[in-house]
Amino acid sequence: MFRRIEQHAQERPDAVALWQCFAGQEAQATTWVQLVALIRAYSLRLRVFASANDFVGLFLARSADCVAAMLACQEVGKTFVCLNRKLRPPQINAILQGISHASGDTAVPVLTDGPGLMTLASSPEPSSFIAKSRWRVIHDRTFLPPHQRAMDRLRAEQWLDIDMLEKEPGVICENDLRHIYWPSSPSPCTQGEDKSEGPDLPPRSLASLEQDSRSTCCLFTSGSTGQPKGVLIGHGDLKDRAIAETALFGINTGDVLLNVLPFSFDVGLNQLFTVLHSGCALVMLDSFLPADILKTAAQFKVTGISGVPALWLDMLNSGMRFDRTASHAALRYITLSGGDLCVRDMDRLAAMAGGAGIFKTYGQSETFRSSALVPHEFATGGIRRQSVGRPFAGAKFYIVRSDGSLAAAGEEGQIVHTGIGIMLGYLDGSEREGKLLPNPFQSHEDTSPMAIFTGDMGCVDADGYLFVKGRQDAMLKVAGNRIYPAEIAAQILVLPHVIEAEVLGIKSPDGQTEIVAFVVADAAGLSELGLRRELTARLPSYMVPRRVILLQRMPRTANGKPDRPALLQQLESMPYGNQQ
Amino acid sequence: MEISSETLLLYFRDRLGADIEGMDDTTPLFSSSVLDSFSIVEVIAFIEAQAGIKMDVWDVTLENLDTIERIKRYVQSKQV
Repeated sequence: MFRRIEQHAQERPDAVALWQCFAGQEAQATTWVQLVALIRAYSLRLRVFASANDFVGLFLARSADCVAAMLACQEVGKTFVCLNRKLRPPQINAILQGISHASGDTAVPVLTDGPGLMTLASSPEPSSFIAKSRWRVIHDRTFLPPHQRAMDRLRAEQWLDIDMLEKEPGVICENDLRHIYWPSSPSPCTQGEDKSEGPDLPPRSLASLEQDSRSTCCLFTSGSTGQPKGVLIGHGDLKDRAIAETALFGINTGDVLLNVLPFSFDVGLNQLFTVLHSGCALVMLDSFLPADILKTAAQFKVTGISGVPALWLDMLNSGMRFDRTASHAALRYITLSGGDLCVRDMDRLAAMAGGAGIFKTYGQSETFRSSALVPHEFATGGIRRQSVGRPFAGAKFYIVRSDGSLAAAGEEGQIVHTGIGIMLGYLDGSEREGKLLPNPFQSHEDTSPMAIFTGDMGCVDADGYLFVKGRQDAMLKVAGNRIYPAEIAAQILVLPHVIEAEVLGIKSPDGQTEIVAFVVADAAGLSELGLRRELTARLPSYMVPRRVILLQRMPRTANGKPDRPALLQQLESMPYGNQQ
Repeated sequence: MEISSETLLLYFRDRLGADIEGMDDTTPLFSSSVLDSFSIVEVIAFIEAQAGIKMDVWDVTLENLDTIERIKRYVQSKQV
């Protein structure tokens, strides 16, 4: 990828690669040539700071520094681990523990920034793996006195090995770089020296270290159990994903993509690498507020936005939409990734997009992307809009019965993914739940050696469109009936005033499975009994939730999905007979 | 009603547990993690109650909320 960025820098040195938006302040631009310089600088620092380590943690705001640190890790052969900014010390500790055990490093090197220090300092007591790690802080213009005090406290009270990264050696200025790529340009940094050699840079042959099978990145997913698990992604695969996504979205250098999703999340990470591959621009917005998204999209003439259901739901529920006749005329597409919306919200989403294309994508951290529904397919509406489309470039999927044989068209089974996007494995070396297995369908048409058994259930229609039913482990058996919580949630969402619904199966004390619905509504008049009554008109009796719990807002994981362990906890804390 | 810097600072410290030492009207609140993003709903409710205004959903931006200076400017603009 670094070769590719150098190429952009040579062809269009002063084109902006990255914009970092600060609320109400002037956005900070990083050109391609500046990005190359920044990557080189971080490479040098990492060689010193993380010389003996295989993994580097990045607990950073989405910024040019964060992007440069990721690419520098690739450049010097380290696996980077982006930690989501929303994580709290217990999760950070668990991730560092996972890295430490897998790599054998007792002191994991981690880069952070001012806001990251605030999170670390919010921990009431020291956490052992946070305390064992080596922390280096990037001092940028967002660094404030409270951040400095947090750093001092962490050092004094929690004994953290923590310091400013700037104290590590190795800084290259932009003009040095211009001198290398364009020898005629002025190079004040090396004035008076022999210019034929250029400054002392790492040899470019380093790039040849690129090995496609080596892991380059580790994504932590919350998983359905709530225990974070690390997914290792190969160097070559990350590049292939970027190439595939560039083609799917039809990206060219004129595009400006809006980034609101974290780089610790596969959808956000792929969006970034698509930008780096294609040479278009990325606007990194550190706000989750619908009005900020609309304003930023207008200001930068954004052409594409990758989003998850929670993001679009916030926008729908605040009554906002893109205005493609004026301020959002440039907007070409949005994506609905990492989850689905109910039929009603899908229609509202189409209205909100104002005619911009909608891509629906389906995949997992372990598989990148299995399928995509492209805008003209989405626009036809009807039943097809509820599918997640057809196989994605370079990927294949199969629907498999529980005995391992292939299901017929329309028949439900487990979705098995092969081809592009397959993870190298889990960080802890386990192949949890038999997920990563030799490809049982290997043939001339499918040369993928490995397959991912996704644990998702689905079926394919006669035209090859995939319909996802739900998680295999989410399937409930209630009085002998097979039930997917998502089917029930879809019916709850049709009711007036309901904004969000999550349905779980709970084992009752007598061993029976009981359906519990968690509902967020926008009106005070709704009662749990009333909701259940309305559902009896829409669902067979065995699918009507036994309990409906009204929530002020849905607890979310760092990636924006409903936080099931938190919902269960909430349920446990409620007296049983009290719900109606 | 106007809303003073001191009122806001004390609210941040006493109700939201923020470290307000050395903080001034231009210190970023949410983008710096001095306040966490979950606090934004509470901050909006506090501003609305103190200033006797209703914040339109279009106005809920970090541009209007990320510093004390901007909050005060926004409140003033609503009272003209």
